[in-house]
This record gives sequence, structure tokens and C-alpha cells, in this order.
Amino acid sequence: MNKQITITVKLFGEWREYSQDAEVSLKLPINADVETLKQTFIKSLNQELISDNSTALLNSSVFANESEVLSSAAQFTQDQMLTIWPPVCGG
Amino acid sequence: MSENFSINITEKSISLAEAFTFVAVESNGATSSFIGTIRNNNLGRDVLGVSYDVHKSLAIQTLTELCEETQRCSLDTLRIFISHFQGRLAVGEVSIVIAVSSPHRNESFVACRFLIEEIKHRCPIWKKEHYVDGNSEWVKGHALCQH
Repeated sequence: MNKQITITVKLFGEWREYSQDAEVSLKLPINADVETLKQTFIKSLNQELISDNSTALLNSSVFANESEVLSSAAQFTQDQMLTIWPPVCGG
Repeated sequence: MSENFSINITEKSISLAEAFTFVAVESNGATSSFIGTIRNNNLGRDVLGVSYDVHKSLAIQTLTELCEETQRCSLDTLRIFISHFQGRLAVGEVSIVIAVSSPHRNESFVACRFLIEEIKHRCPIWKKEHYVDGNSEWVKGHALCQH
């Protein structure tokens, strides 16, 4: 059986509208890439709220760990906590 | 963090006096500031208030990096104060204060402008507008690079 890891994604900004919880927990195969993370992430959300806008929002969002924004080439080898950032607008 | 920087994410009212006191040093003869306040309209809609969502630890990290970038261009002469609000504000309330002091006026003007523009493009902060008609919407922001 393939090993799985758990990635917990904490929601920020507009992503908070897609779940009643502040974070979602995802099961991914070990060595999963960012694209797999994205697809698993969007499937974990309230599907009644998913639209073309959600896909656009996902494509313009980034994932970050506790210290930096992840590269699109990142792979996941162990359980970890991430955050998802839609486009930012401080000030 | 450098003793020349004061960086804060706060749920309390931001003190302008604290900002100007922090940047006041005898070696710097110029102080510039940017004060962001909630306005009562956006894109033709009447606004009641704005809620700010912040990734606090990485926002502070990003603000620190921005201060360091700014300082490197000014031979370590700047004093920089940045405080950004987290939570809900009503129209007229202050969302961000940036104050910069420098030996001469140009550096503080340039630094202040650089900092607010970079904060809008790089800092993990999001805002949701609340309208008079009872609706609320997240404001479209700037997508970050994912190298």
C-alpha cells in the first residue's frame, strides 16, 4: 500500500469562505507535488461553493510553510502544516 | 530585528504619537509618514467598514525584510515604524501607519512610498469590505510569485 502523509492547510482571506473550519486536512501520497496538493485541496472544500472563480482564485494563490512561500516545484515527504494565500492587499 | 525598526501587527488603535516618537532621533532631520484610513466608498459602493485578515508571523517577517531592503539603500540611516491593524475597522479609522525618518527629506519620502507599495504587493494581509447594503466582499489583491 502506498504511504500517505497528512497536509493541513490553514485558510486565509477569501479561502475562509469555502469551509466552516479555519483549516482543512488532506491525505496525499508521499512525494506529492504542488499540483496534486491543489487538486486535493479544492476537492476538500464545500463543493456547493466551487465555481470558475474558485479555480481562478486557486491559480492565483500560493502555499506557504511557517517561513516562506513554497516553490511550484515543492514536494511533500512528511506531515506538515501549510497556509494558502490568495492575492494579498494590505494597507 | 534592528533597533532602528518598530514593526507591529495590532488589534488596538494605532498610535501616531508612538510612531513619531520612535522615528525621532537627533541625527535625522526629516520625517515622512503614510497613514491609511478606511474610506466610505469603493468602486461605487458605500462602505461601512473593513476587516483585515493577517498571517501575523509571516507578515512581521515580510515587513522586517522590507525594512532591511529599504535600509540597505540608505546607508543604515533610517528609523522606520510600521504598524498594521488586524480585525475590523469602521470608516475613518486607521489601518496602517508608516513613519520614516532620515537625515534629509528625499530618503524618507522615497522609503515611505516604497514601503506602502511593497506592503500592498507582498505582505500576507487580506481585507474584506462591508457595505451599507449588508453585503461583504473580499477585495481583489495582488498575486504573489511562486518560483
